[in-house]
Amino acid sequence: MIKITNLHANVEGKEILKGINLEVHAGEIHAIMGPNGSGKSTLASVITGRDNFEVTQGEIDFEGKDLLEMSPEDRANSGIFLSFQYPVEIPGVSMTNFMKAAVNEQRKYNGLEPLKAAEFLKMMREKAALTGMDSALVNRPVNEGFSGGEKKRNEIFQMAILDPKLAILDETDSGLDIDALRIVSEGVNKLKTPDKALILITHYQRLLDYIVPDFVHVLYKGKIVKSAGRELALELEKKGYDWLKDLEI
Amino acid sequence: MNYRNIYDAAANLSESLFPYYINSFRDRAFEKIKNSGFPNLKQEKYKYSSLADIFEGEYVPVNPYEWKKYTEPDFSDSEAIKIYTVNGVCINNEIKSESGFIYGSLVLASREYEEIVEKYYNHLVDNTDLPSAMNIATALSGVFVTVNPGVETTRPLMIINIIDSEANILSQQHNLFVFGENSVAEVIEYNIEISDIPTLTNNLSEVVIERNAQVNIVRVQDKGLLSRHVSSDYSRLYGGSSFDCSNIVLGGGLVRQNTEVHLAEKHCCSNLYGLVVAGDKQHVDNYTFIDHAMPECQSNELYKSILNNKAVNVFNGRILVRPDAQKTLAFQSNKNILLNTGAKIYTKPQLEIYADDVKCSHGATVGQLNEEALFYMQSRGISKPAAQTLLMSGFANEILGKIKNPEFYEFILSRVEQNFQD
Ligand SMILES: Nc1ncnc2c1ncn2[C@@H]1O[C@H](COP(=O)(O)OP(=O)(O)OP(=O)(O)O)[C@@H](O)[C@H]1O
Ligand SMILES: [Mg+2]
Repeated sequence: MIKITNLHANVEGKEILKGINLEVHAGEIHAIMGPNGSGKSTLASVITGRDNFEVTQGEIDFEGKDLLEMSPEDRANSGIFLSFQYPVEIPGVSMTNFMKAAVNEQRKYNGLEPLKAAEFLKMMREKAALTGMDSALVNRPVNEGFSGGEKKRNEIFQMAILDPKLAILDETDSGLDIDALRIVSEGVNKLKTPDKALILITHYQRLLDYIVPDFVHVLYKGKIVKSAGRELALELEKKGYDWLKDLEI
Repeated sequence: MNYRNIYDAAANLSESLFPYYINSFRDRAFEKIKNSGFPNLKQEKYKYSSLADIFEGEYVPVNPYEWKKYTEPDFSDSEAIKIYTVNGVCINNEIKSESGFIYGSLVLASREYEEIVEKYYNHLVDNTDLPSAMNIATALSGVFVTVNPGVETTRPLMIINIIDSEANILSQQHNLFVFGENSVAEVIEYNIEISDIPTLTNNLSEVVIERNAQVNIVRVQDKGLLSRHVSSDYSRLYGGSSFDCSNIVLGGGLVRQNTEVHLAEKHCCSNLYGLVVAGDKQHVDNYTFIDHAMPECQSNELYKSILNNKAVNVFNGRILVRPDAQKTLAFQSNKNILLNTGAKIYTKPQLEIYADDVKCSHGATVGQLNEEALFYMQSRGISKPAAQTLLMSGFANEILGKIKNPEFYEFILSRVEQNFQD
């Protein structure tokens, strides 16, 4: 589904990603772990097209399309979704208006008519129930005054509405209480079908108990330094990252 | 401008239109203009918008006996009571009573409601302010609105002021609003223009809000880029009353709004809101003056602007807390978004505090559209222009939300979004 080859990226002249290679197929779940500041969120930003990161080398192929040539909105509309590590507050714009605009742009991209108001509201209600999103939040401005956990839940709510092929969850688990983590994970699992793929960025094994990855990668200083099966996450939980310092990078 | 011509024309007509108690103010007000003329940025109050610029050019007076047909704007399905003026003149020369409002032409009211009009006419106006003096000296028409004590009106009253002329007119209205004790009312004023030539509007409103009355006024200025629009609005609040007033400016080439609020007794609350959406070479200047004369009153001000191209926006917010006005709460905030490096904002708070037990604050911000919020929306598939429009509407909505009438709110929101796209 997505193939990242030798990806290098800079921010403000400083190289953050130093040759990332990663391939994710439909049906797979990949976890990316690694110490703070190693470049995990940067990778997510580059995939989704944030323009303050400059790609200096490498390619990203998404279902046969050259992703780096596409605008952020086209990437989203062709099926990529990022659950932000730090969701953004948008004062004055209600969740309802925000999602209505997003859904209708996606439909336009796919050659469909805008959704009727009643159908849209019905979908909002269903997805709120699926992800345990408080319906009061739906009428408020996007993320404004939301608690940390509510913001994360809101990301998954948006994911449920937009139904992406490839979802990248950047530390969606941090900030969620134990019950919320379970509800959100169940929601994610329900959304997951064999034609879809998931990249989970996390620091904790806990999330991976609920959403079981097929592969675990360790990102360190802008490179993937180790990839293995789910057992790697357990090993990291025990060992920490100290061993990375002994690697030749 | 040839003031003399305008004054002579007014003097000829005024006697057949208005009683002496109104006309008696004209001479003195005209002396003021004759003596000083309209200065050029010299008055502190007009530092960023020269009165000479506003009043320059040859304008012809409006014939108050003549009015044109009008076409109803799009929000005609609104349940509001509607009253129309064309070039300042009330097109229905009658006084009506409806849903709690008594309203109509000031010309008629000056006789039929003499006890009210005589009591209040020109009682709140600063006659040293030159646009106001010009209006007092030469205005020949206006709208009169009153709500009797204890009456809660059941629908909003909408005053639609239309400029429609083939000549470069000077249109002037002197409006008088008197809201009786314990009354509740909502008034909308919508200013538009059909002509496409330079015209000057110099309106004045006096708003009297008696004890415990609750009043909401929304003014929208949506004229063409050639028009000049000056309005001077004076309000006085008596004990326990509350006043919400929103000034929304979408159009006009040169716009100056003076908004003065006098808190004349204890426990009054005034909320002033402003929104300016300007582009091209529009020049918009809002001057506000809150006079805290008595203790335990509260005033809030929130003025916002979104500026594009070479637009200039001025916000000058003066707050006076007099020595008697202990326990005053006065807050002011001015927030601006510049979409373009050519646009300019001048913001000038002016706090004069002569009481010691008060809480006052002011703040101003100038910024661009939030890049992170734009990317967040794009990452959900929303195109950049659509995301920008959503963000700007969100910013504007804090003020537009003060419009309670749903049809008019939708209509103005669509006008605002149209402006964003231009
Ligand atoms: N806009 C920016 N300007 C300057 N430096 C940046 C910027 N964005 C990221 N960086 C730097 O890039 C590096 C990688 O950051 P990134 O957010 O990708 O780390 P991360 O792996 O997601 O860390 P964490 O686990 O703490 O979320 C950090 O050193 C960070 O300071
Ligand atoms: Mg991160």
